Amino acid sequence: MDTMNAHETHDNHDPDEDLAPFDVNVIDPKEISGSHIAGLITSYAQGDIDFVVLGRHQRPEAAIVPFNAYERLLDYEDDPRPEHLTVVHPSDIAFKGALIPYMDQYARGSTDPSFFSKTDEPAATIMPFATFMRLLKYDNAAYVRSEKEFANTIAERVRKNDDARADGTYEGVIFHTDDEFDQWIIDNFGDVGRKAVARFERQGGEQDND
Amino acid sequence: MSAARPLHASNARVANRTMTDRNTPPADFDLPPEVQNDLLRLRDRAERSKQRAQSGGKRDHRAENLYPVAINALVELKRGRPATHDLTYMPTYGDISDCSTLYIGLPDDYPSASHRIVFRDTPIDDVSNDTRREIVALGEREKGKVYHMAAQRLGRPAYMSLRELNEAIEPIARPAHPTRARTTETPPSPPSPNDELEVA
Repeated sequence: MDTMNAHETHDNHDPDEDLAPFDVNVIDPKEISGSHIAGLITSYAQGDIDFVVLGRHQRPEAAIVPFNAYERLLDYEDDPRPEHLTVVHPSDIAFKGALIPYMDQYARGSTDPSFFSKTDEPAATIMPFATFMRLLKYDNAAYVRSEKEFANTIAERVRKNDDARADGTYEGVIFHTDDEFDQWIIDNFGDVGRKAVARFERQGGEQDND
Repeated sequence: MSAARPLHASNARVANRTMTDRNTPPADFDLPPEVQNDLLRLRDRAERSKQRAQSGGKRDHRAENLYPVAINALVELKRGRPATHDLTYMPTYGDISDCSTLYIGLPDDYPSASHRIVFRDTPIDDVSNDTRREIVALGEREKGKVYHMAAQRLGRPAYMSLRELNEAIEPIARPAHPTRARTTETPPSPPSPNDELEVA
């Protein structure tokens, strides 16, 4: 099953702008069977893929996402988690094309998600493509926010570093000899540091120049 | 970011990298706390991967391999390993054209390594040829993250060259030379009005 990682759509850093159109493989629901859904659930559990887009004639109609992504959407929209969720077991999806009724339902305007799992706990959610796009936009905005927070953290560290350099309380380490540096690397990075020093000495100081 | 001391004409030579024999091991090697954090982040990712593998989870081979590769590269940089290439001014990053970059990555990354170490060599004093090598940032090349980080750490705003910074009336950038001196170091000479910043 072709997939795309959600974070690949996060090139656009302006949360107010629509996400750039992304090149995603749209899988025809008539190709999907219960065993595909079971494999997808396993992949989600392992974190291998983020979502799958379904649709007929290459037109996106629905997406299947991990259940925790659906929970994120509820959080973003401040919606409570439904008290009762009907979970479909992949083994109950007996034939290829069993997901086509979901597409028909979404085409008629339904926005209700449905859930799949190999246990009683939901593991994957199928939702209309429009809902999925909303989720991507929220995720994108959250990503941009976290990037800004990260940038602020860095800026704060720079400020502290500037001040520290100015008042002589600099927390960096300045090494004057190779031995000082080697000891520091070994003290802080243990075996990895020791091996790096030994590797250099073994090579007789020869470097791999690019 | 704090406004800082003015870019100082005596720092102009920092950008003139022809003064520095970059195959010669630096006399001093400066690892700022931010870079120590970069290293710790790599180490943590590698250790988390190992812990995940021990509990039956998926292993991140990239993270586990990248960590020792980065440490190896630092050991070599301390011994005078030259850069992969010098950096030139790219307005979107802020001017870090007084810095150089070393590509680090895994064989699978060929031909474009995933990470970079940004560093700069600065003369320690006016008398000797001794240099201090300051590691500025270690991070991902993707989307220029490591270069943005380096510019930010050096207080270099985007869309402003070192020459423009030097000519600015108000001090807006951190000096291109660390002010901390060795105890035996000759104090820097006062700036001369004839000094000019040379951007590589």
